[in-house]
Amino acid sequence: MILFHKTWQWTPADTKTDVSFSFTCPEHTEELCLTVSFSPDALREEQACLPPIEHALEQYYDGRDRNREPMEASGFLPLKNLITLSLSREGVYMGNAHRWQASQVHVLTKEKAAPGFTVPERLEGDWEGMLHLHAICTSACRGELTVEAVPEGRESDALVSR
Amino acid sequence: MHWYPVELHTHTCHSDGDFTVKELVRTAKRDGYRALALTDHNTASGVEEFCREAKKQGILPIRGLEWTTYHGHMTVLEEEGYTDWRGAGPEDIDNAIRAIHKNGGVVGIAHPFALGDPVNTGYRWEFQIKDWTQVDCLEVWSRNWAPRRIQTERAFAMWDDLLRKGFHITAVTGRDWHRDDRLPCCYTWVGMFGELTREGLLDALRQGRVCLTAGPFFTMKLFQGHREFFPGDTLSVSGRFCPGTGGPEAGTPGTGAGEEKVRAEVLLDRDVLPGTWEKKQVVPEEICLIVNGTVRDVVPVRGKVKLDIQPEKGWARAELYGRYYETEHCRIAVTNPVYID
Repeated sequence: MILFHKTWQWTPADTKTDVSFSFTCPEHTEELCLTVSFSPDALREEQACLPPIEHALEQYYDGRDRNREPMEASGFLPLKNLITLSLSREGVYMGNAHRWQASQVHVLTKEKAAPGFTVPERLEGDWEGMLHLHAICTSACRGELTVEAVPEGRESDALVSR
Repeated sequence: MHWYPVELHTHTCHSDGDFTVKELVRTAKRDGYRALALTDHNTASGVEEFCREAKKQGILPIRGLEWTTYHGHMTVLEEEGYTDWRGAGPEDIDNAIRAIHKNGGVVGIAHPFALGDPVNTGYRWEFQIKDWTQVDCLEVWSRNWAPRRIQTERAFAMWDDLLRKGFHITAVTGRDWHRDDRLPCCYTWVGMFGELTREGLLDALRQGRVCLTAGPFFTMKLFQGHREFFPGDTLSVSGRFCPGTGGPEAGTPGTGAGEEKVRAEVLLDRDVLPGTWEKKQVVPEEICLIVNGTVRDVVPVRGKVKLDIQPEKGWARAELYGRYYETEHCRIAVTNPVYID
């Protein structure tokens, strides 16, 4: 059963903002499956990447002699988008999946939780979550989130396709 | 005083580390750590397994996480309860730190001058702290090759500036350990009377009973008469102070102990943690005694060095310089200050 599904279009202006979502998990749910993906995963055009990286390096060196710790902007290509997901259940923080992958599946049951999340005592109830847009480096980035509840005795489509 | 090597900034696959929890703990055991904090990004989901594994290996586990926000990273250790990292704006950090303290946690600013946006979003510290008395620790050495990094120079300048303004902030290292890269790193040593305990470690961090090194163990104590003062302690000097000179005013009646000469004893031990640092690449040469940000004495390295110091209100600490790989005259060990009141 799909509890939540949405797509977004983000731009660099959305960097350092949060996207909230919420869903209610019904009783007799065996597992919750959250599938998050975004595309593209990185800015690869060198011409577009180098100026902001060079700016970061200038801030790092702060006028000091670069030869003391040489770093080249070209060594930091590509510039990756970073989007992470955090969850709370009934107002209690459950954790954050702070990872770089552009496609992630997070499964939670009463016995086990995906890395980054604590094992929930109960699945049913009100859940809130956030997508944290740490960095949108590409001029456009399409994001998608699907939350699926797998009833007891059934298998998740997301898991099958993973 | 017993000193214990600890690492307080680590990651596993519960966030973006390559280590499993077991691998992290085993590697920490190999590298000689007596206590270890797990500080995954914005999550404590690995902590239960971590505590179990650490106890099996005889390592004291410290529960933690790393606030990984858009405006800076901050290690949070042993907070009972949870303060939400989400939504913290650039000017909101004081209230967050107060809330963490209320829950018994210890906070440390992580890699304040790391390479930031857009390469590493939020790595560089941009939070506006209004009350620096709230901050427990500051990572002056971060990740590998820390002594020769420019971010180190800036972090030390920040720390010295804060000390000069009268804030007691504990300098620590942070390996920010994500994988077993076997690159040169720095160690934090915490001091306590007796066995290593969680509460003792947290107190040492709060108080500043901490020494840092890229190799040999290095510490300092001050003597006032027969009394010993370790990093993080406060030594009281009686009498009024002459502005500019700092020393007790001539003819001012004192209260006895405060008028006694203060002696610094600096101790260096190169035989610690063999195999974790390269003796041929980290070569101590000079010991510097620093009082209120000014170098007061420079002496060649010996096993134990004793120096008389003129007590001035403020702080005194020692630094060890030498060759660090191909970098000459590099800071390779540091004590936190003994404060002088």
